[in-house]
Amino acid sequence: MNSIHRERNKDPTKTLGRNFIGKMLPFVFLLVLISVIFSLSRNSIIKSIPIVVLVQLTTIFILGYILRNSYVELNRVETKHKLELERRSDYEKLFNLSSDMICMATFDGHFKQVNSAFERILGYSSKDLLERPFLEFVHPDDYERTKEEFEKLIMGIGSVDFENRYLSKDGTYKVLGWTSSVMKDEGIIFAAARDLTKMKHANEEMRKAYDFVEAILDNVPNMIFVKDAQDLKFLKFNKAGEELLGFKKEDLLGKNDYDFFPKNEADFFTSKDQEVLKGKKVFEIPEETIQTKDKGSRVLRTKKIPVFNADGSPRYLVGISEDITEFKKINEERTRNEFALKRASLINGLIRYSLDGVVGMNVEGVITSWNSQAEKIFGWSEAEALGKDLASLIIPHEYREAHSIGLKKFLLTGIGPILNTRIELVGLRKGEVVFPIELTVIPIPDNHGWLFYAYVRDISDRKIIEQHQKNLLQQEHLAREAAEQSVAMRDDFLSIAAHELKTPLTPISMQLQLLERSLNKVTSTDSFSINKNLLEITKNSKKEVDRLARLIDELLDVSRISAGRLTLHKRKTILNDLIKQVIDRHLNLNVKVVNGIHLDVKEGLTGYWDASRLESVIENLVTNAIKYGEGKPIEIKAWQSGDTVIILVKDQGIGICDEDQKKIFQKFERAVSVKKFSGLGLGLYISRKIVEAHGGVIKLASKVGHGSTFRIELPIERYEETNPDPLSIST
Amino acid sequence: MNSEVNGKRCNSILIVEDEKGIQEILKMALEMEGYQVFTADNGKEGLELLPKMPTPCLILLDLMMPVMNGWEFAEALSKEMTLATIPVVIVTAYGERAESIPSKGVLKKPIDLDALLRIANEWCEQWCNGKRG
Repeated sequence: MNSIHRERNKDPTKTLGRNFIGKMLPFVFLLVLISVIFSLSRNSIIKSIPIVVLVQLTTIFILGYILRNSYVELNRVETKHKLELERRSDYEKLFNLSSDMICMATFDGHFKQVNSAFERILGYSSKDLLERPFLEFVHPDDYERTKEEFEKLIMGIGSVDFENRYLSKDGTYKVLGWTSSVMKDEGIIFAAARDLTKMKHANEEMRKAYDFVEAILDNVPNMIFVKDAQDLKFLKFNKAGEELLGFKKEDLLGKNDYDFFPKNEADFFTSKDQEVLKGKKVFEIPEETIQTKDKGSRVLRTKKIPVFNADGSPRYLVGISEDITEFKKINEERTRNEFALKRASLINGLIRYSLDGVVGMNVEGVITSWNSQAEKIFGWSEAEALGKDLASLIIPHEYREAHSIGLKKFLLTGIGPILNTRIELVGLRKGEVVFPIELTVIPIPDNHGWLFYAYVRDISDRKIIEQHQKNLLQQEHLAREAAEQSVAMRDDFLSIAAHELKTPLTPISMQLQLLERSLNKVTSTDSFSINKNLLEITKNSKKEVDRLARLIDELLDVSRISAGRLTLHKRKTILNDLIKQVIDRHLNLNVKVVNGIHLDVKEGLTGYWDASRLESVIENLVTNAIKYGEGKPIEIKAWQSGDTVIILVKDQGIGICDEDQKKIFQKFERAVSVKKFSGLGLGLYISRKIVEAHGGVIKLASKVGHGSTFRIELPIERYEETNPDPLSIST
Repeated sequence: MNSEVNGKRCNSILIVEDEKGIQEILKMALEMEGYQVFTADNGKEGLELLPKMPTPCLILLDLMMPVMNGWEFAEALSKEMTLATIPVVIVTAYGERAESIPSKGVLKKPIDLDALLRIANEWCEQWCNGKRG
């Protein structure tokens, strides 16, 4: 500082000349002295200059040198003084130039010197300031602190950033920030202060503004948060947010969603956030569910607002979330209530107009509905029934406990085996009358748990009818058993009777045959006419016996079929032979087959059948064809079709009407009147049974006046080749 | 018919039939044709009779009989070497279960006389010729 001041205040050329002369003088003197010595000793020219002159010259130089030195010294002192003055003036300037307040004070509590900033800032003259102890200017509230600080300074302890308020001349207080040091030995304190009033004020204003925003944010009931656009970390969180999430601000700030939510939720939120920032517009999430720390799962409606820098790059993401859990709940509740109301009115309608008695009951077992049918069934009016305990009113004593247990069980477990199903029970009518009912109980969920609706029918009448029907059924059953028994007895009797009848028939038949044979042998002409008569009688008797035998056979077959005793004795049978035997027999018997029988039977139709029974079937059909064929030609055809043999017996006789066709294969049915043709009418029934027992079918196609065609379809069964081939002998 | 075998006439027929009426008419019819007819009321009697009579050229066998039925008789017969080859024709009302017996045929009751005589003639001739041959 010193040197700068000096350099600034002197002439550089002057100083340079003076220094040069001063430094050169001794050397000049020395040079002259040497010259004198040389001249004295050698040079004549120099010898001619008198010594005195030399001495004088030397003296002059010495004196000059002394003079010059004195001048220099004098000049130096003068310059030093001048610089000192200049320096003082600089400090003074600096002191007063400072916009900060600078002062010196003494240990007695007075300012020793203050700069102009003191005057400017506090408004006092420096004189005023130096006169009064500086503590007088201090704000009473800051007094003690200031005093303590001052005492510390006295003890030699410096002070930095000490703040207090000084009374200014206009009566206001200025906030000053002090830095002080102390020269303990000299008893002087140096201090600088800065007027912080404006800054403080500005700070205060800023703080107020901040508080204002904070207060607003914290009083908004919605969660508000601000995230950094770059890392989506929370920068701001309001009170509602803290309360909702259950975390303190300190726990939230500087963290992102991954620190609070499960990864899948955090992924979702983050991706949404990025979308919002990219989309550059407000984004609304109408409903999102989050897991909070203390409040469980909450439903939020969130708006996310992107905030941008001046250059358009994203800066913040602001989120506003409204907790709509309660709202949603209320809304749902309202919807539910509306629905319940509608349903209630629907149910009421259903109950009122139901044809069944409808009784409603709540979980306490109290009657809540009672329609007019219920009034009729139980005898209690709606007014009497509503609000009453259902069990005591309409359930007989012995069932009340079961009712109560069943209700409790359902309410506990949701299991109700008698619910939603039709059951029969007994009910209690006014006047303690127990009667049978049929009911279905339906549980319907309700705001208060459940409502139960029982659809009830009085089934007293039905029970009577049912009992009656049961009795009838029983009677019928007994009657049927008796009938079946008598049928069985009849069949047994029939079987025995037929057998017994047939036994004497064999010898009678044979005796007649023998008689016929004997008569044929008699050749006497005398007795020819007698013999001829006898022969005729015998033939007729034999025919009747044959018919009797056939009838008995039919009866026996029917009794066997009825008793399920029709057993087949199958063996290898050649159908051609069977048919031929039947035809031969008819032709031999000389039956009126006027136009004959046309045979069209394929060769080698062989199967595994009961030959005897199959023969009787064909016999029966051929007999019928002859009987009802009105003497017109009869056609018999047989051929094989796949695994089946088909036999057709066709006549061109009277035919069978449609109605009779349906029952002709039944027992004791005959298409024509008894008068016209005799017989029991069992033949086709037996034939059908025999064909069916072989696994075949028998069909009829007929038209009245055009004749009938019987068709037998008989499966060819495989016969065992090992079986011997017994000779079939027909009778 | 009426031929002799080893000095004996080859025309014996055995009827095993419990029904007397049938037995008699069968006997009468066959005797009228010249056969020598022996009768037995059941299988047991038949078996007892066989050694005492000329070997028959035909046995007419009823099935349903008391004491010993036709099946049992046939069974016993088949075990006798000398008798096993005699032709047996079954005489039955129903033709049932006759297959189990190795017979030469079945005559269904009521018996057709012509058929009976034809069978008797046929088998006796065959039997007697066979014996002779």
